[in-house]
Amino acid sequence: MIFVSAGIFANTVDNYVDSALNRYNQKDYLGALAYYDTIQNHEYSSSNLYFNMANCYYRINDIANAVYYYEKALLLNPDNEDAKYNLNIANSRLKLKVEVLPIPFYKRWETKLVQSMSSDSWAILSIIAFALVLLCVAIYLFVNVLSLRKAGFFIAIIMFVVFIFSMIMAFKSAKQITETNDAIVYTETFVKSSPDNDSQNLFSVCEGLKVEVTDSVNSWYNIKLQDGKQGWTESAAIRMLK
Amino acid sequence: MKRISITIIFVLAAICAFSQNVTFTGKTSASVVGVGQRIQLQYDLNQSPSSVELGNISGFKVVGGPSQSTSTSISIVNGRTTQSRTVSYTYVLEATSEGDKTIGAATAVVDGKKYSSNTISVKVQKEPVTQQSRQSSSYDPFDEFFGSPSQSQHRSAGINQQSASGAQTVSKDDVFIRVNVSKNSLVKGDCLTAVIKLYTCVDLVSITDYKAPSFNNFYAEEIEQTQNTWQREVVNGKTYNVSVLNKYLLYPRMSGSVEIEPAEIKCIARVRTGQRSFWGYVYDNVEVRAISPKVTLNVENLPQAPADFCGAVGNFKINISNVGDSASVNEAISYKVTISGEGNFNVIDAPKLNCPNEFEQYDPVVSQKIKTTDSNMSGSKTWEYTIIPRYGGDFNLGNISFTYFDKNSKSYKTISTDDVVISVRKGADDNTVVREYNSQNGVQYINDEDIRFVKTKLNLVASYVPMVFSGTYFIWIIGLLIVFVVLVILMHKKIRNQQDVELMKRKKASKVSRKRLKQANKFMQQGNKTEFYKEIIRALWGYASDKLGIPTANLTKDNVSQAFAERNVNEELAHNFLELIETCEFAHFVSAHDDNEMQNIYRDTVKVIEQLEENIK
Repeated sequence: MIFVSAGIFANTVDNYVDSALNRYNQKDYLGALAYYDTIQNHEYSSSNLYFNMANCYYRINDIANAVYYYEKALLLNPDNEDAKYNLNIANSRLKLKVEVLPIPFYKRWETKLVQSMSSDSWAILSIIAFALVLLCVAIYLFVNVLSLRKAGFFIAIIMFVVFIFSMIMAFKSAKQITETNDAIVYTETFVKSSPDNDSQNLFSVCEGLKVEVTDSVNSWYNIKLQDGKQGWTESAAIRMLK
Repeated sequence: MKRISITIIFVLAAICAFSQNVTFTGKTSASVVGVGQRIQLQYDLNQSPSSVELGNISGFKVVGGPSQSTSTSISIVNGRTTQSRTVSYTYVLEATSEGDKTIGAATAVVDGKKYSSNTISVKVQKEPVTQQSRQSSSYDPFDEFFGSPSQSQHRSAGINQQSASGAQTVSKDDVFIRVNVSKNSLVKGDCLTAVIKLYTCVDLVSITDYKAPSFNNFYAEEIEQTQNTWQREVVNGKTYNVSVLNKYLLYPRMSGSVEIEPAEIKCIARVRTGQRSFWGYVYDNVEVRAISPKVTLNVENLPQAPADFCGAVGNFKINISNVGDSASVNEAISYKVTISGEGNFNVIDAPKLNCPNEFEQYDPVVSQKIKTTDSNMSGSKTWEYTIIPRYGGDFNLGNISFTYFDKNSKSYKTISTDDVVISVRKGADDNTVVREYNSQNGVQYINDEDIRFVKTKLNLVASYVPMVFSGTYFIWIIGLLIVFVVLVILMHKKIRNQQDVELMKRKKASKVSRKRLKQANKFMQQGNKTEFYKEIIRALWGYASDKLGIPTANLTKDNVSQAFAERNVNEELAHNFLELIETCEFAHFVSAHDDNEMQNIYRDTVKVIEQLEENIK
């Protein structure tokens, strides 16, 4: 019974995807978004779904939402080249340009490495590596031929390193998705020096800007821009990527 | 003696003064006044107050004062001395609104007590009142020689003397102000000159106040005058002295009927009172206020303008400085655009450069040399752009065009410069700068591009949780581990079983062979040769099979000698063992052996097995 209903729903979801695509082609972007929202409401998600939603928002000039969903698409699949490309275009239409602070090379390499594959790909890689470790240990234990035993021993050690490494990568990548502190600004606002309305205005942020939330007090977030500027803003002004 | 008496008088006077009642009265210099005219308001006290405050003076504003003056008079009549002391406060008020006004009671504080004055009513009328100034001055004949040129000119002109003896009055026709415009209808963007002139046929002593029109609907540029001289002009048969107050070049900002606000002037005229004194005529200073009539202009709109028309009307030329035809990367190029000619330069904005994206462009520096003449503004306006090429190659910087409305031909004209072609050489550090450039102006490139199309395959996942967090990952790892462990256990058991059998056999090997040897010994005593040799062979082969772990099927002499060699068995011993087997096999078929030989073989066999037992562990 459960399987049957799940199967029927899968069919309707496919229909939704097709309808949304039709609407998009007819330039009815709001209509397409309505279908994508329904899909999302049924707890379905994917990098490509977010990418398509972002495209719709971009077409109706809602840059804040467009940036939000491109970032979300990239979070699920850091490898999504189209999302990277479109995000770049969307970002170029922001009112404010923020110079990105130079990131130390090792951090840059680390994120590049973590993002070179999705979390699940890393996980699968680590499972394969683990299976190979066990196989090589078995060869070492039970095969009488000396050369095979030697090879088994060394391959086992290498595969063990690969296993541990890809497992760490899988966790890091998964953590980025579920525990990201990044947020997108939704309303143009002033960033204050402390979490209350009477404090001094430090600088302003525009819609669609990506910020990092580093702290929160009541309904105030401490946000950090990519150029290193920090300040407090009301939580209503931004939306977390999580 | 005299000094003492004077002192006494003063002391007495002071005492008298203290005993007197306080009087506090106010009066104005006139009871009727025109709007904008001034009156004096004076309060007199017979005691000196610590403070005086004005009452309600609505309808007036204080333009001067208070000025304080004290006068003391002592009169001795029939030996009786009276002394009076007057402290007066004088304010100068200017009437601001029409109507019957009352100047409220002022308050003065004397010895801590408050006193109020009387109220004064003043009528303020719209028309200026020809008001006699307080001090009348008598005509000074020397004035003629030392007076201002205007006065002497006036004198010599000898105009406006109604009668030799009659009193002079100043009428509207005597002093007036006019705004003369060069034309009454024009097109928007064109200019006109407005000259503000003061006409007078009476003596003017001074100009007290002058308000030029505010020109709200115009862009006004004042034309500098060489000198302010009086000229003569005849208006309506009357000769006036005329002075040009200001000259303006006006550019209307709106179309339709546009009004120039009136100018206003206040001046002091000197007129004869009609009385004569010993010295001659007695003159009075009279304040005259004159307002210019309104001037309305008809401003026509320009015909439908091209898109790039900025509002310039006149006659212009455009030029660019010589940019040169080559430059190198990152070298700043100065690009000067000059618009020269005649017209309303004020509306001309910086012309737009159509530089390729490979150039970085900075805001221009503007300089202008513009002269305002009676007819128009003329001169030139220059914009100096700084552009920096960031890439090498040949580029066309395009031309610069400028559109204006030609007054003479009544049509729009577009003038443009020639295209500028420049070749940029690559610099040494080209790469670094290209990156910088991209980060700055990358926007321009990207704006030309569009986002990529939506994905047709969504690869949807129901409520996605990363594999490492969902448990699937650990199920896999643990599953693999379990499979491995089970495999190892199974394998291990099998191996041990195998190893056990061999070990047992090895351990039992000597025992089995000993049993066989015992049997052989029995056969030897019975004299059963055949069985004896059979048993010996069995014992030897069996021993080798068990001890060396070679299955019976594979038991050959070669295998055995190889196995001995692998186990480092003494070669002689191995040789003995194999020779023994050979001998037995031989003896087994040839039955021509005696008991002695059987005994030797038996002994050798026991010996070989014992030695092997020692050698093979």
